Amino acid sequence: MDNGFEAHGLGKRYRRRWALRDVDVAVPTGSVTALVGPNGAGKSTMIKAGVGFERPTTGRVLVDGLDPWKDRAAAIARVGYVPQAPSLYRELTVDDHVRLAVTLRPGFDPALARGRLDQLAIPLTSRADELSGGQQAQVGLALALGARAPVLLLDEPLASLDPLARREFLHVLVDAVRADGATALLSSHVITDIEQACDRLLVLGGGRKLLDLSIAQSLAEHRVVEVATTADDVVGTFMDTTGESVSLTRTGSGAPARGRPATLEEVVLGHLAAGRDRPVLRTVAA
Amino acid sequence: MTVIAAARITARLHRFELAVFGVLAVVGVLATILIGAQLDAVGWTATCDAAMRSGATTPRECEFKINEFYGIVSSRGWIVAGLTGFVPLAAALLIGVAVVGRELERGTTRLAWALTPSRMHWLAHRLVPVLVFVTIVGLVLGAAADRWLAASEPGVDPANAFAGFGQRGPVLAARAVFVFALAVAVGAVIGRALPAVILGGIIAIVGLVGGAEAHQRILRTEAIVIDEAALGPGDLWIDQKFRLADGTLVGWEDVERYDPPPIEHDDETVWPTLPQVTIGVPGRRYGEVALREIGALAGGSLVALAVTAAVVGRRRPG
Repeated sequence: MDNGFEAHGLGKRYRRRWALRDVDVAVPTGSVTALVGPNGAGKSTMIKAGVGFERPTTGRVLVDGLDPWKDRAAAIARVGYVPQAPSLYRELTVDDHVRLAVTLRPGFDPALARGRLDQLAIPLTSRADELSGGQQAQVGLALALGARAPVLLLDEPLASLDPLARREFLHVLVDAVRADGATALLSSHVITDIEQACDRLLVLGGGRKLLDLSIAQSLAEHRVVEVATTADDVVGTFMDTTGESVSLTRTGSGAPARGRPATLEEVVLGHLAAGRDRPVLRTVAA
Repeated sequence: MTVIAAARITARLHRFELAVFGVLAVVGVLATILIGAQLDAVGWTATCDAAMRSGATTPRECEFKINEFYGIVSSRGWIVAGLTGFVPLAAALLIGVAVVGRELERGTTRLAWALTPSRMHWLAHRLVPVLVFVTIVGLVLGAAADRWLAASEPGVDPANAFAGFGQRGPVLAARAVFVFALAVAVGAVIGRALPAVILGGIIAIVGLVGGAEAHQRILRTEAIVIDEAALGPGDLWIDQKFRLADGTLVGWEDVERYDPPPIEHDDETVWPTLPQVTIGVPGRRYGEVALREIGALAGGSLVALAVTAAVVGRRRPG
C-alpha cells in the first residue's frame, strides 16, 4: 500500500455550507503529514471522515486502502485517533482507560500504552479529571499508539497544550511513527512545532486543498518578496507583523528567484491568502 | 475476562447511580420486611379481612385489631409503596439515559468509538451490566411489593389477584426494563442527558399509561360475569350490571326502564332491586395476564433497543 490515507473527490456539506469540496489527497505510508488551515477549513471534517465519524457527501476516504464508511470494522481496526478535545472518562483512572481499550480493541497492546505513560511520569492511578490538559492529551495519544494502528489521525491535539507539552507530545508521536512505520495525519494551527515533526504539509482553506507538498519542497519552492513584479509567480499577499504587505512567490516555474527564502509559516499564510479575498495578517506562533 | 473487565468499567462509570439506587432498593426491601412483620404481629388474619370486605359482623378475635392494623398501613405503608414503586422506574430512567446519552454529551464516545471496530460491541459492554442491575432491582422490589400486598391485604393471594397489577411482581421488573430501554433510546437520539431524562420520562409515562389502557381494553373483551357473592378480593372489577329475569344484563343507564325507582324512599329503601353481577376477570387468571403483559413490555423493550442500535451505528459521536 503506497498511501496510508487518501481522499478522492471528498466533499462534505452541512445543510447549505460545504465544509470540504472536491478534495483529493494522498498521504504516503510512513509519512507524518501536517494538516493546516484556519478554523472552518475542513481539517476536522477530513479527519473525522477518516475515522468513520462523518459520512462524505461526495467522494470517499480510504485509510490503508479501506473505506471507513463502507467497511467500518476493518477500517477502524487500522486507525488510531486522537480527538480535538481530550475525550477521557472523568470517572476512570488512567489505567482504567488502558483496560477499557483492551476490552474494546482486539490486539490492543496495554504494555506499550502503559510504558509510554510511564515514560512521561503520568500516574496510572490518577483519575482523568485530575490530569492536566497536556497529560490528558498524552493519555489519548498513548491509547491511539497502543492500538498499534498503521494510520494515526490526530485532530488538533496540540491546541490546548503549552509549548513544553506540545514538544513532548510531538516527540512521542514522531518516535512512535518512526518505530512502527505508521502514517500520521496531524491537524494543527501551530506551524512552528509541526515544522520539526512533520515531513509533509497539506494546507486546506475554505474547504479546498491549497497546497500538498513535502516540507522540504514547500520551503524550497517558495520565496517572499516585498514588492512583486509581473515576472513573479505570486501565490498570495499577506501582512507581515510590521504591517508591511509582502507576497509569497513560487519558484521553479521559470520565474527568477527573487526575495528571501520563505519560512513555513509564510508558505502557509501565502496559500491561505490565495484562498481568501483579503490579505491575511501574519500571526505569531504561540 | 474481557467481559468481566468491561462490566467493571461500566459499573465504575455509573457507580453513583448504581450506589444510590442499590441502597434505595435495600432500604425498600428492609422496610417491607420490617413493616410487614409489624403487620403480621397485629394478628389481622385473612378471616378478619374477609369479614371486613363482606360487611359481615367482625369476629371477636378481630376486634380492636383493625385500628392498629390500618394505622400501620396508613402511617408506614407509603414508605414501602413509594420505594417499591419509585426506585425501579427512576433507576431505569436515570441510568438508561446515561448509558449512551451522557457519553455523547461528554464526548467520550469519540474515544470509545474510535477504539472499537464494532460500536455494537461497545453498546453491549455498556448496556448489559446496567440492564442486569435494573432487572435485579425490579425483580427484588417487585417481590417486596408482593410481600407487602400479602401483609397489608391478608385475604389476597398475590399469585391469584389483580390488586396492584403492574406495581408488583415480575410485571414491575418488566416495566422497569421497558423504561430503561426507552431511556437508552431517547438518550442515544438526543445525545444530552437532561433533555433526555425529561423527554424519556414523558415517553415512558405515555407508553406505560397507553399500554395499560390497551391492556384494559383487551381484558374487557375477556371479562366474564361473576356473581356478586362469588366476587373475590383478587378479581379484576371492570363493570357492574343487573340481571333481568330473562338473564339479559343491563347497565346503570338502562336499569330504570326495567326497575323503576320507588317514588317514596328513605335510607332503608333498597334500589335497584334487580340482582347485581360483576363483569370482571377472575383473579386465578392473574398469572397468564401478567405473563402477557411481560411479553408485551419485553417486545417494546426490544424495539427500543433495536432503535438504539440503529442510532448508535450511524450517528456522529457527539
